[in-house]
Amino acid sequence: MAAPNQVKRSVSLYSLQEEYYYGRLDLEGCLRAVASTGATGVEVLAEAMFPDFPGPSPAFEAQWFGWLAKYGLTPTCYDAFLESKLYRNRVLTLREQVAMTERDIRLAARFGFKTLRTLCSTPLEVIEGSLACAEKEGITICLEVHAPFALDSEWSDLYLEMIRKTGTKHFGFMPDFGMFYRNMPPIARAQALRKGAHPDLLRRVDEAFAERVEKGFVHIRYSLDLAAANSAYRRENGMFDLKEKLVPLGANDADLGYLFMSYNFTWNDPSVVTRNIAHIHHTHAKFHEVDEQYVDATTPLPQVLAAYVAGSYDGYISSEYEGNSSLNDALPVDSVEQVRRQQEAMRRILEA
Amino acid sequence: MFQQVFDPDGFSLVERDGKPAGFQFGMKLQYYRGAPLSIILDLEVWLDGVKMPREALRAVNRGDVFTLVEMETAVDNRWEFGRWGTVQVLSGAAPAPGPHRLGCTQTIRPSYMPWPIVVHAETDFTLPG
Repeated sequence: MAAPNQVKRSVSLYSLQEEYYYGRLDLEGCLRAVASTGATGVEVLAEAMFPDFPGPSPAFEAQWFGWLAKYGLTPTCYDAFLESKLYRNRVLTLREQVAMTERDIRLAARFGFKTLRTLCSTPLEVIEGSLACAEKEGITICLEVHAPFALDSEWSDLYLEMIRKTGTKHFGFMPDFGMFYRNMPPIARAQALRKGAHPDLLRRVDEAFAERVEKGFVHIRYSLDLAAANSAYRRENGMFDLKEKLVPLGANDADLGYLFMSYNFTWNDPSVVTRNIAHIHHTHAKFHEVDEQYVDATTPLPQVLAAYVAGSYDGYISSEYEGNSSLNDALPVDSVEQVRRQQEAMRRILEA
Repeated sequence: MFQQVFDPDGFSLVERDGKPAGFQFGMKLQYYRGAPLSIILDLEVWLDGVKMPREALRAVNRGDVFTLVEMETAVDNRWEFGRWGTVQVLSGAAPAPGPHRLGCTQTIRPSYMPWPIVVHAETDFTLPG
């Protein structure tokens, strides 16, 4: 791998949700923990951890910048949630959705962020309508490419066309490493077994996953009807056919939960990153587990990071630990240690 | 989602005008960010296996009290991540002193998710005599 490179490392505070939920870490504690892992950047979910969202006080703002200085952290990405179904009887209008996005863009800028994560469900028109505000505030809106969404797909092409049409420099993509899961996370399999799943049926699910990795996934398509699009993706990739085979074999809720979960992740050849690097401005390094030898048994970190280096990526890659939910039914969770291990794994690869 | 859903110190009787009106408990939302109450599609409560009437439920958050129908329009009242909220069950009678089994299902609809989150949790608690 060519060195040196300009890839920078960050941590999303999504990673520390278990500790925050139980009050073991408050926001300052989370920032202290992030700094202890070796990362220099921090990504936040203001809706999870900023007091009085969406109207945090000037006093909190001062405290926030004080903490960043104290722990030597740079704000990287602000994770926005477009609550378009805020009301029970209707979806927010385009004007209302743009206003909500602009609210978040202004909050992101106010708290020092350079990028704003928008979810893969965000309509094209909402992003396009928010570009002027993003430009004014110096924010780049990043569409999260979260499995089963994919780059080099009909879905992503629509957003690329919008970039071409508007000429904007304030919109791009942020891949999530859930699109680089080569197999199911071992801790997810262990959890299914704890809940009473059958080893032979889980093996069938794993084999089907391996087959999709081998043959390629049918990509999810753009739609404002998320349930319909997601169901079509699952159907076209064989989930319902497999379910029909497993049920007569005695599949229980744990088996079927594992089957459903296995369609939450995909595998894409990491070269897709290099090809799209001009439009990638941030990244979620989603992961379930990194072991004591600094190996992720699910995502081949050396291969994935090499694709960023090959594209001369100079943005942040942000740890997003999600393994807590595969452990916390029965086992202790140490999110900080997991993030530290992933950060160290990435450091070793990037500095090799 | 998380193992501890209910506030172990949050169970108590509710009185109105000096008379028993029901009981209440504290719990946390099973989601990883704060949520406006309006995206909580439903709360269902069982006491000792008996489902409580929906009309008897109240969500108490940030000092406001809502019926579940009223909660549909509570777009500015956020149930913050990791914070206790209170659910009151105004059944008109106090549960008997002693041990009880409580069940609660939360149905939350984050706008970006294809399907709502449905989480059921149960716990045992004891009301003092």
